[in-house]
Amino acid sequence: MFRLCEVQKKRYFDSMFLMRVSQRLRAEPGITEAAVVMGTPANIQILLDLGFPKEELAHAGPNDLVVAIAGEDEEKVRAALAKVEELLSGGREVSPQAPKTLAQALAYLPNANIAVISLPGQYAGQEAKKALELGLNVFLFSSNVPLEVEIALKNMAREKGLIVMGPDCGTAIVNGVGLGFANVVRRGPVGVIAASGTGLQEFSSLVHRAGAGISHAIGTGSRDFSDSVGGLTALTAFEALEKDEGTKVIAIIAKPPGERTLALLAEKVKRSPKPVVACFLGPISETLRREWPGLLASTIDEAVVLTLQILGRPVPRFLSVTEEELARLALAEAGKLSPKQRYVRGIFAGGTFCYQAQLLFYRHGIQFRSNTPLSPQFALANPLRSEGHTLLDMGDEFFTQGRLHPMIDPTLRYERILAEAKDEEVAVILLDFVLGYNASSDPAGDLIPAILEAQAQREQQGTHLIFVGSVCGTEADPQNYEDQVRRLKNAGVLVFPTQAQATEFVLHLIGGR
Amino acid sequence: MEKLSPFQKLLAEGPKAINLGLPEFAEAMKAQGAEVVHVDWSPPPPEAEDLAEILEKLL
Repeated sequence: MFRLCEVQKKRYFDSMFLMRVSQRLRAEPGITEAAVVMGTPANIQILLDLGFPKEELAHAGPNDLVVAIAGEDEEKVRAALAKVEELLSGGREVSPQAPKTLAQALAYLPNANIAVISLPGQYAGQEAKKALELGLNVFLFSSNVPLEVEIALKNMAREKGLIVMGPDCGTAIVNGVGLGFANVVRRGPVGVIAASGTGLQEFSSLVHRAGAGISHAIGTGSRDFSDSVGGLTALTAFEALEKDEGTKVIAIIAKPPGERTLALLAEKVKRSPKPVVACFLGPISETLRREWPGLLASTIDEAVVLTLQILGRPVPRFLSVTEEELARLALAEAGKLSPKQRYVRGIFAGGTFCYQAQLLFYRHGIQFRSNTPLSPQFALANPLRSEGHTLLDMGDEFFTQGRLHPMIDPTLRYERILAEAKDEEVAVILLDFVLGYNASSDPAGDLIPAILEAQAQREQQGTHLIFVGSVCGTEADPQNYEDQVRRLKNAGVLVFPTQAQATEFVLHLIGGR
Repeated sequence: MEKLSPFQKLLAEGPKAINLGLPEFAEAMKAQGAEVVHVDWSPPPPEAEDLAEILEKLL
């Protein structure tokens, strides 16, 4: 193994762009690891852990570019290093006149009304503050923004009648335009407030596929419903949707709120002239059940059904599949498994999908482990090694350090499918496929080769591996829902119209095992 | 009629965005017909520690 490090002083590139460069380098012949990163303390620690030499890395600072490559021999590593500059030059196709700051950009677009910020966490808060000072709303995609900064930004926004969606806000739909990872959905009477990105994507896609539409979908960021933030963004969103003429019903998708936040929200909902459906994904306390004045849904699917009923719209067939139907389907499939095959491995790109699957396992009384557990008792000791039924959020920090999110880069999910398939006790691999703007251009195609390879391996051993999946998206998405579903089905995947249904099916399949 | 807050105005008018960070986000918004200006952003000037380092080299 040959390792090489190079530090280039005062050279900045966007982290997601650098991850793409790293991904391309890893694919070079004879290369086992490659990282092109900014020299932040966290990145340096990762490189040290990977065995890169301390002497070189000691000189790197957060504003320096670090290139670290490991491979079979020096020749191959140097060949990869020679490609770095070419790859980096693809990242700066910006005209010299392009604005360098928020304030300059306002001169180009004086009527701008929102700043969309996806900078590294340590800079994002400062830029968000500047945006608010300039009178702009903020969509803050960045994570790793400190809690106290989030609170300060949200208080400032509320004083000015502005909103801060985020930090850690994956998606929103504002007046028909998707921000971040958003699906293409028709406009309609349903307003959404969501603390979870994939939760919002699944809900809005299902509403669309059921024939209805979305007025606006506001992301709040993952911490907004906690008592430390107190639902500052959710409250602003609620007040605006309440007054918005195009919104006839309001849906809320989040983990269960803190007690104080619940009281604030409940007060608003109680007085609201518009019906409110909430899907609080997590253990529902007695207080929550007692004090929530709106409708409560236990899954995203149920939230969609309740919303359609309020609107007086028919519930489509794909949302009214019964437990009996799923059980019948499961019975037919279970016959293909050997007695030894008992376990489910969920390998999710969407955090909410992993969470919703855990909730359904929990409600059915089926033991499981997860790297993002519902409660600490379900924690997986080592995210790299599954135990029994395991539900993995591959978008969790443990897996995404120095890599792109699995909704964009399929590598780790691909490898995990092959690894799980080698375990003879595995009966089912449960997958999600997330479509929409900024996601992979072909989520099904990314994983189909791994699915086929895993199946072929199993056939050779004389056993059968069941793949179950769901696709989050619409026919209007750039990746096309129907096309993705068709190709997955052709590859032998049992595709269900929603992620909750896919999980319910799997629970029937393994129920008696 | 009640005056719209800047957030309500955003909902009513749709996003006119200034994008800082991933250029892909700007492209996606443009593809949906929104007005977007992308900022060629770079980190703030070196912090005091780095400045001290530079001065030391110069002097």
